[in-house]
Amino acid sequence: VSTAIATERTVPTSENCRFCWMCRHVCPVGHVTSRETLTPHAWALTIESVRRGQLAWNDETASVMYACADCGLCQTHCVTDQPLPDAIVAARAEIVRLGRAPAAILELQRRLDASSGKSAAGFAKGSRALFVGDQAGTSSAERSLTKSTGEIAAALQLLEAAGVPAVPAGEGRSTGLTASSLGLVDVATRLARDLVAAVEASGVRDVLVLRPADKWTFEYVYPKRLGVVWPSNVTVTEVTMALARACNNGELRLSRHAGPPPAYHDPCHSPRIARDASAPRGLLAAIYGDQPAPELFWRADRAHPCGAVGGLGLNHPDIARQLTTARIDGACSAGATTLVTDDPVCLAELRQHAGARLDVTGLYSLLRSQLRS
Amino acid sequence: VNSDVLRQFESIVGSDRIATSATDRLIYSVDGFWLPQMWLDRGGRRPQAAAIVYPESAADVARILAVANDARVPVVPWGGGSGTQGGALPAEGGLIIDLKRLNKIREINERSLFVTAEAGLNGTELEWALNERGLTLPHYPASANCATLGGYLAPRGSGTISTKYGKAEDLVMSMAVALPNGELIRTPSVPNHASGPDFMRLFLGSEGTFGVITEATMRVTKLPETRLFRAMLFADVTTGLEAGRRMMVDRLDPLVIRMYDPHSTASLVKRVLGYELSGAYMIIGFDGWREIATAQEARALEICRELGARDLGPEPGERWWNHRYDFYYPPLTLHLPAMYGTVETVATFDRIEAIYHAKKATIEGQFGHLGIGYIAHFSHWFPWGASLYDRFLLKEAPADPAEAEALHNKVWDVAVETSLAHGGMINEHHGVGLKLSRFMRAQYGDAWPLLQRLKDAIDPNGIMNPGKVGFEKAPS
Repeated sequence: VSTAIATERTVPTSENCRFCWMCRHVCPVGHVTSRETLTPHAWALTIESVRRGQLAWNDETASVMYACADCGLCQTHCVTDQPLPDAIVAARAEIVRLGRAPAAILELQRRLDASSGKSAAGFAKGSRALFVGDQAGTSSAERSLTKSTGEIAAALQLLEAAGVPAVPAGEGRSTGLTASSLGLVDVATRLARDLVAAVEASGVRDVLVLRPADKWTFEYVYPKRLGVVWPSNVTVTEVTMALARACNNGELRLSRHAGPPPAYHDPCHSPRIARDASAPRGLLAAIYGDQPAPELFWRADRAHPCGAVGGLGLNHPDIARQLTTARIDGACSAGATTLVTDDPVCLAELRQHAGARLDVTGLYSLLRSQLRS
Repeated sequence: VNSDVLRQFESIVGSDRIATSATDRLIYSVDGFWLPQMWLDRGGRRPQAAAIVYPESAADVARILAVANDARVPVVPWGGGSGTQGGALPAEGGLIIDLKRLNKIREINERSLFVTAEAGLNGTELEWALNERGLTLPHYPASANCATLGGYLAPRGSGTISTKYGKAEDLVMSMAVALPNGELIRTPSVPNHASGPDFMRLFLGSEGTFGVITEATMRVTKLPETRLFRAMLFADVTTGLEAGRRMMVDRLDPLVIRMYDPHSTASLVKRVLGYELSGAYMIIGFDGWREIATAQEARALEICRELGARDLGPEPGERWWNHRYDFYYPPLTLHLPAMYGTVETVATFDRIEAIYHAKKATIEGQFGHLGIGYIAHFSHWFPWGASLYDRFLLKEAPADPAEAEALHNKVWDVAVETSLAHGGMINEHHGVGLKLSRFMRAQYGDAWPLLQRLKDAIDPNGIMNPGKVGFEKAPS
């Protein structure tokens, strides 16, 4: 794999992982498809088989490589921290370079190239910003990521009540994560550089994010995959963590909610940032009391993503749908009637497929409804 | 496999549940066996299946077998594909049945302490589900993250704590099996009865040559109140083996006894656990109610002291427990371009030490000049003996794949023949697969024809996993 990001880090990784099965149990794609070919070791073996001339990059192998969700669970659960997702992304970059990427990926690349240079919302001058962003419109759920979910407004109101007021920033601006996941290195790098430049120009010192995905992007994807350095004097904090801290300190006061507690969906990419899974659950406990909450089987450090992850919906909408359905099924089989999540993209995706079986609610809207004046 | 037969398979599982692409066929042409990995590494190809099917039910598996039987298509069951013996390889092409869609837990019975689950369920997933009820399936193989329930049983696997809780075969209560003629059978609901022969055991160790395990009921146990671990250092293998023997024959019920020979202590224990020690490093563990486990451990420590062992305390033991699977992650695990093989065996106490010394002397004597080393530990203990988990290792296999294969097979021949000559079995827990198939007749001697007749009666067309477990008959 001869791309700029296929480094001395990714080649040994695919060598190491091609005959290792130790992370198979956590791979969500392997789980929903049950296909050996769509598991971490098989992606590594496919890469290495192409390197050895036993396979070639073509429609078939490209489709296999684009079935990975880039959720990071394999690396998170690897004792030796093999960055297999990076090796897969590097292979995708090679596939893109050769013009063998699936049509939907190339179409996205054209769309993002066409939008190059167009103005995107900047960061207002100030010390604390709530990054709103956009995810490049790679799925219907992401396209619907707007204020219509009400989550952004709710988050702003909660932050105000918690004594950490922030101003919205970066609306409509893609972090480049999806582009990076899909191997669109140049586009992703441009988006990352633009965003970092906007942050630096604004003088912002604290960036609050709504999604674990954003925190992971700024702190890992930028430096490790794209060679873009996030400003060292700018902290990145999840809104949920800030609210949990305020709640524990008594600065965020919430009233009790009648009714059974909901199940909680840990957003995509949560495990790979070593997120404190007790924080959102603590916020829910603050309004539902000590009643035991139904829990999804795939949760916390083994949380499976929904189908909005990694641009999967572009090339493998069937797998994306299965991932989302599995989360909904998991909540229902745990006895939940309501599923809560804090990531607006996950929220939109889950809502789109839940139907009448499950009420899907945003964590911030729910908390706002219980704000004590 | 002609297109008409493929269409019949497709009509059973659906068009989206059958794979024939070059990528799929390559991925399913390699498992944990060193040889196919080496061939792929060097750019060579191994036999491939014509197709892979993904049934969702035991009934579908049975229907697939009926079609394959009529068409004389070789069938290979595939669970996790992580076995080290080539048991899941399509040695004669044909059809692979990937069982991972059979992944449902049917029942967790907290009163009688058993779980019934489909055979394609992942081991760790099953364990996590049991842990949520305060239960555990006390079968902890290093392959749990990748293996399936059926894969635990088909090769008669052992786990880290088999010394106390038994092998997978000791934990199974009943099974459902799809036979090559398309019948779906279920063994009696409990194993300990006196109502005729225990034919369930025929399928344990058959590795898919008699049928496909589709479901199993396994004994489970409550998670223990405590687990105690301790590390000891013995002067040599002889005193360590004697300590382990006395713990077993005195029925101290250890959870684990794991003793590394001096070479392993100096290499593996240092590399993975970070301890630089000279001698035979032993981990012992006890679990259950605290008072009982503490008393058992105290008695075991007395035995170790009487034999001159140095007590390294609980911390190194706990560290081993917490990192016991780290040995299997790359780059810590053995991997290409090295050549290696786990030539493990099992025997009674009166023979096991002699086997160790004989294998070490023979392998180092015959192949030492080529740079081949020998390391060993003793890891699964019984009231009558122990398993010798030994390996040969060459840092870099010969560049020519044919030469590498020949050397690999030669070392295996010598290792297994030495085990057999000294009263050992060819294998304790990895199974036979393709790798050890050629030794089965020597192992069984006069009893082999009976086993072959059983095979012929159950699978007259020889479609089930041909070339494995000593059954070489291919479909006609």
